[in-house]
Amino acid sequence: MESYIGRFMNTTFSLKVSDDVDKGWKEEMRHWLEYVDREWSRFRTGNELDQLNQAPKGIRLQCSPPLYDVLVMAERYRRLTSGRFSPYLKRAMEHQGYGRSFPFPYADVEEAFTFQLEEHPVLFHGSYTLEKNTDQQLDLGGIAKGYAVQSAAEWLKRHGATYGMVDGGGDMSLWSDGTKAWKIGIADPWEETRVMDVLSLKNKAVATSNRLYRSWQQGKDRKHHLLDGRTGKSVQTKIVQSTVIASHCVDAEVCAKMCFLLKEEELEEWFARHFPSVSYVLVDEDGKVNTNIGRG
Amino acid sequence: MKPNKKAKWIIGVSGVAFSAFVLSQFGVEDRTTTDLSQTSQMEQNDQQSVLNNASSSNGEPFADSDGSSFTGRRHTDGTTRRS
Repeated sequence: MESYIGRFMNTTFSLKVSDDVDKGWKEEMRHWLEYVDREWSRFRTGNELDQLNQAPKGIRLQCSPPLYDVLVMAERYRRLTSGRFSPYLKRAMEHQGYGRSFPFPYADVEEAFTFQLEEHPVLFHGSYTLEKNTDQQLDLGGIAKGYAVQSAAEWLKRHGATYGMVDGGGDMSLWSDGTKAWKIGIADPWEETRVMDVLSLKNKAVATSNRLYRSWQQGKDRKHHLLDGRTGKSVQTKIVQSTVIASHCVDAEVCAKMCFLLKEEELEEWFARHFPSVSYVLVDEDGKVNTNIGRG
Repeated sequence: MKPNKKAKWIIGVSGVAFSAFVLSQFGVEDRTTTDLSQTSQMEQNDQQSVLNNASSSNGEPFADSDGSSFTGRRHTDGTTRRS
């Protein structure tokens, strides 16, 4: 088995692939992950995302194929989740106090802010051309990482790797020739170095969201990075960590957020309707575990 | 990338080199547009490899899929954690 480790998107990427992968794969991975890191970060100026965010409302833009594709995908998830998941939360995130890279303990209280989003914030016209129809700005956040992980995995599969694992700081895509089973630990939400359980997976993706680490004090309020796309505010929930197992990493990433954004009584029905093969493992603030694994 | 005459702004020139990484070309993106309830039986079968002995909603730790008891110090290929 060959391996590659690199630091991208403020986290560690660890890739392990079977020996039959094409030569030169590490360079391809490095270039791809550097590109996503550089061009899709909301903390950088002058990159693809920043150019899109700075573009005036009503303008048509031609984007690179990967950026267009991730934007189309993000908008489809927004519609599928009735606006709960949203990529249009950059300003809302900054207003909540998350305007710089983590970690930080406190954030200034911002002036009053009205969050409103158009019904069609972006119109997609094909040929990588879109029309920006909102003053809200985009933050690709977790979906960028999920996309980067899944794209890397798909590339590696197409280039000969019969089994492999792409781990982007805990967001993972795993595949197998049928014999290799990957043992994946779920980190304890309060003690990250401790594994609370172990999954055995062959052809799956996993993502975990946690509201404990990326949280801060803003005035009298405790804030975290999981915002409801309908309100632009940190969601109030007892859940502290969600782990989702799905068929690909972008699904897993979005569904892990949805575990926070849905009411507890809505979860089972929503997943059964929209993502029937998705499994989740939730931990609430009392340490209670809730999972749909083994049901039905 | 063929220029679109109506587009006034062109962004992301460096991204053109990464067209081989566009997920929609692998059919991945289609799952959000087609009927997601039509998830394949193959996926369901693969899911059975996951924590068959898991408990639910009772606060007890799981047993992993080979039935061993949980120790918190097991060898793993990786760990999923907050991102």
